Amino acid sequence: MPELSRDEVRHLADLARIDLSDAELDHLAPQLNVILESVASIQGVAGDDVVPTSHPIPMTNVFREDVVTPCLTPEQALAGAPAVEEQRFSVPRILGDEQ
Amino acid sequence: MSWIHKTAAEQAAALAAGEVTSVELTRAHLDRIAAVDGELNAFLYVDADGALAQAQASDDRRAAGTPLHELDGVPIAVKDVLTTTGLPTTCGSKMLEGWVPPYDATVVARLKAAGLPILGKTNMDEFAMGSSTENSAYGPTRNPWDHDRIPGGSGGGSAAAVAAFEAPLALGTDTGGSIRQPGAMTGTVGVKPTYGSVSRYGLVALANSLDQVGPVTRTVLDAALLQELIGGHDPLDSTSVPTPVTGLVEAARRGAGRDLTGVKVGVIKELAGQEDGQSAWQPGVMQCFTESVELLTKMGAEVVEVSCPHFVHAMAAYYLILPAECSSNLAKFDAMRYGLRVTPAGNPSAEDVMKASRDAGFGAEVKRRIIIGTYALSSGYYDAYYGQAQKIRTLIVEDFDRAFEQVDVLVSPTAPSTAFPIGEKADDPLAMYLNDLATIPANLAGVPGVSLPSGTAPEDGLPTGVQFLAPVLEDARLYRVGAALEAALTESWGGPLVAPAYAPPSDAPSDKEN
Amino acid sequence: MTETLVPFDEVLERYDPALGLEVHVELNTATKMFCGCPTEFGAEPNTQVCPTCLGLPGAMPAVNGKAVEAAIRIGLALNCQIAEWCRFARKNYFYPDMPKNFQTSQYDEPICFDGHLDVEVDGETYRIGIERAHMEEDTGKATHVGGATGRIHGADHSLIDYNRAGIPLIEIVTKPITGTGEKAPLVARAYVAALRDIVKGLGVSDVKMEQGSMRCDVNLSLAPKGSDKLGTRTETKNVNSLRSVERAVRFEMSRHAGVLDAGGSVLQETRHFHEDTATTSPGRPKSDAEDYRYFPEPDLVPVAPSREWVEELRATLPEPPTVRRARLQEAWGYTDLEMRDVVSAGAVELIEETVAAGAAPQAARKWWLSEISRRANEAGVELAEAGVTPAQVAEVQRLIDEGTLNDKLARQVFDGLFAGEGTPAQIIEKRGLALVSDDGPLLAAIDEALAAQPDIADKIRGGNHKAAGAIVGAVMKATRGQADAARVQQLILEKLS
Repeated sequence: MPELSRDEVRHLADLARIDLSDAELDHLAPQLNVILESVASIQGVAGDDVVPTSHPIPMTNVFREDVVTPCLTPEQALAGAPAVEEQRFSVPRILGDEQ
Repeated sequence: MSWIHKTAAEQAAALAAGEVTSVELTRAHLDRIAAVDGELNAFLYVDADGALAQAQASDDRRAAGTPLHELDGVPIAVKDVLTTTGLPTTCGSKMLEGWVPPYDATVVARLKAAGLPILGKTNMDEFAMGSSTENSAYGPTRNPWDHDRIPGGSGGGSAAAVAAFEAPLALGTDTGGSIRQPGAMTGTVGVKPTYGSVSRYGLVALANSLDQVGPVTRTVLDAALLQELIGGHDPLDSTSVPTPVTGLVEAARRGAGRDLTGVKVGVIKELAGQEDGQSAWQPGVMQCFTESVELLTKMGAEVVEVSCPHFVHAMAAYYLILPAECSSNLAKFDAMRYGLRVTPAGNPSAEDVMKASRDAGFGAEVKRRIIIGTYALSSGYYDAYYGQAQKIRTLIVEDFDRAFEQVDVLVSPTAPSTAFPIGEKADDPLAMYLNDLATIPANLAGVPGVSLPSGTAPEDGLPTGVQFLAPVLEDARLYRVGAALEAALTESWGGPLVAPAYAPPSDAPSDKEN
Repeated sequence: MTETLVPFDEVLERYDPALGLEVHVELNTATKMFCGCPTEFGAEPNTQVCPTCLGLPGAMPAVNGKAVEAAIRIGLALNCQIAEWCRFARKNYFYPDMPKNFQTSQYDEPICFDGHLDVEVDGETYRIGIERAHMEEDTGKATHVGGATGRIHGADHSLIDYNRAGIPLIEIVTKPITGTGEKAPLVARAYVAALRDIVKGLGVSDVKMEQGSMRCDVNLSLAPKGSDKLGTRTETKNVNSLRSVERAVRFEMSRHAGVLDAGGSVLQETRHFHEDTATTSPGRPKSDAEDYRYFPEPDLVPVAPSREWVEELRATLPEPPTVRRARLQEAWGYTDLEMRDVVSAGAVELIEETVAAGAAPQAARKWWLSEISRRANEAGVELAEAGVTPAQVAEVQRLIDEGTLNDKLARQVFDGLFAGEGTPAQIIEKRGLALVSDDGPLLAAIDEALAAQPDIADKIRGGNHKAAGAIVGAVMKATRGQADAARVQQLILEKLS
């Protein structure tokens, strides 16, 4: 089981967009390793022949009719927004490109 | 005895008989909340005006002879992880402080359509992550049995509210035990229905493939009434099962007759306190469990031991699947569309604001799980962690299948210990996770489970819980067996288990009837 | 940053290009992929949103069955296998235009896979392998405020409209396309054009590149000539016209060659195409957020199209384009060369509609490939967007056939059509363009011309009929071109013989 280094935890936090302070990193990193160590026990328990279960109740082909349903009003949609301008969600400048 | 101490079924009957009005019932519960919740902190938001208005409407319907449902007019509390139009929904997180959803969860819509006044929103571990309600950003909920102890979690608020007679009914959600374990900690009844049998639409997801909404009550019959009300297919939830789960109330009434002849009950070997590395089982919990099993036998049930060998891996699988799913679910909390926005100094970018807001808005346990989940899903680790955990899930489903070939229901203690002191395990995630040892397998397999009080542990006088599990869609079996055991235990105790400080004044041993 | 660009012909002396094309097609379903919000283009901001497509806490997705059907039909038209069982997956990355900060897409279980599409360039057929076609959802739209030109860089903040978020997309990805050499830019263009025609024929999308209902990302790499390994690729995003596809490939080939010639290595990155300059510029480097942490969407159940359903859908497919082209070529009596020009101009449907509206096939071809093509090229738009409809072309031709217009006047009618002056009849009326069909005014003009040039009149009388040309010219001038030259010639000869 690979041990998570401080840098790796920082990288994961970046990936998850959480700005961890140094103190938080110091506190969390060892806890994460304890947790990872405990969950590592499952490795090798199930062989290649075991099919993974992603849904506890197997179902397929649940589709919706292509029929329009009522929308929120723009007021409802924007009610919780931290900032609004021109009936749009106002967000700080975006770095990088659209995907 | 005052109205609040009556069960939901009794309150409903009194409404139907014209002995009380919904406004009176609702006001009585609001008064109780005002009196005790300053100390308990079971509620995050109380909607007195809204509840009374709904109660008045209910009384009007009843006067016109058009009640909507048997429970029309019986008040209820709702866990703050379910969206409610016009009422703040915070999920116990700073991230959502003051957020008012523009829509109702399907289960909330069903409560409204049946005319149940909604008293307010109950406290919980942040985003339902925890087993103690200490992870709430709005302070812990206290256990009515001992204010220095936790009420269980994540749904400690709903359980405490029901235990302290602040509400006759509450809604909870159960991802790994968040309904059942608080039930055990507070001496109340909690049911996790079959996965997909109650809509998750409007339930702020923790782990989508494990979450389920269910009833939090004081009696098995009340739970049956509530589950029948909130259950059923919902096209807005694509994982909703098309087959309705029915006959619950009937099963509970039948069970109360205390005849379990022909019922086969399996004691799960791996969850029966054996000393195979699991030393977490408290003696008093095991003692109450053994007494419960003996009562089952006395009522005619055939009790055998069954083995579910892969249950020992359930915790590990759970603590990979859950963080993985929740790391993705909680990505939406980014300060762009709703919720907390923290703007760092300088000329911050959207990314800077997201990171600062998520750091400030999420508590430690949420961050831990998001980071674990991010790791478990990372390329290079997916197969070893998430993929492997999903395979364990298959093995656990197969364990259940084999067990239910031999028996009708399975039984185990709900939680390994009674309520522990607030703060004791707050910063020890693994010790905290062990609380859900017995409840997690049901979530992984989607099977239904009920927890009901099994007594008080002699060493600390705190309530203990017993759990029954049934095959998928066979929730009715839980109600039959649960109601039977409840009746037998209540008789043996000389009355229901009640937190002493919250017992009705007239409940003194010498003066049982009012 | 200065870039050394290697002339296109030189690139091919030293390198082999490999192409990969990712095309996003926005479906024209009434509602979004996972909720019942409408998909209309151009609505007021944030009026077509609900808890689900806004990513509100607690909301859940529900799959639009019509979108699944469209995905399968696209796959079948591209000769793909249809998965017996597949799932949606979450693609996790943070971006403010994406409400949930994950895109519900498909990962290693696409609904359609392993197909092909044959395209023709200069008489040669190229078989383009289709890797996969999968279902996913679109993002919202950000408007950048402050800064220079509404561009993202230097903007002060951004405003987001989520109307587009959740609109169904089908992403169609080719296998690496190699062995095209100098034809690479044309093959890329021909593939996108062919794909557009197929999707249009299925009726599942508007496929309007300029409105973004069809968007193309161009992957390109160069390998040293003769090498069987692929080079490092770049991904040029949102190349939004057929012409741009061709130009983007051409530019990246020249740019890659410049980097490689200088001994450098191509940076694996996303690039942006600039329509105005036909160049690309670097975007986000591929290093950071490329770990998308895909996992199966737990709020949705698997899609398992029954073979019966697939065969039902296969029966709804229109005639394959190659079969259809052969049929039309025969019906229209075009030569191979004529048909090839028509196909590469993207004029098959336009001519078909023009012929259906009554025009002769050769006449229809003439107008679309000369007059209208020229104007579309000048305007830098597709033929179909040039501003003239097949019905209008047929009407103009009908007016020629009945003698109201000649070719010269017809071109003026097209001027009017491009300028939006109304129907051909209205334009003829407004501009006074009809041919003079009455002999009276013509005879008057002839008399006038003969009187002005008595020596020419004598020559004609003397039997020199060729000399009549000068008089015809004068009459045409006098009638501002609105005379039928043949009739004028006839009248002159009648008069003087």
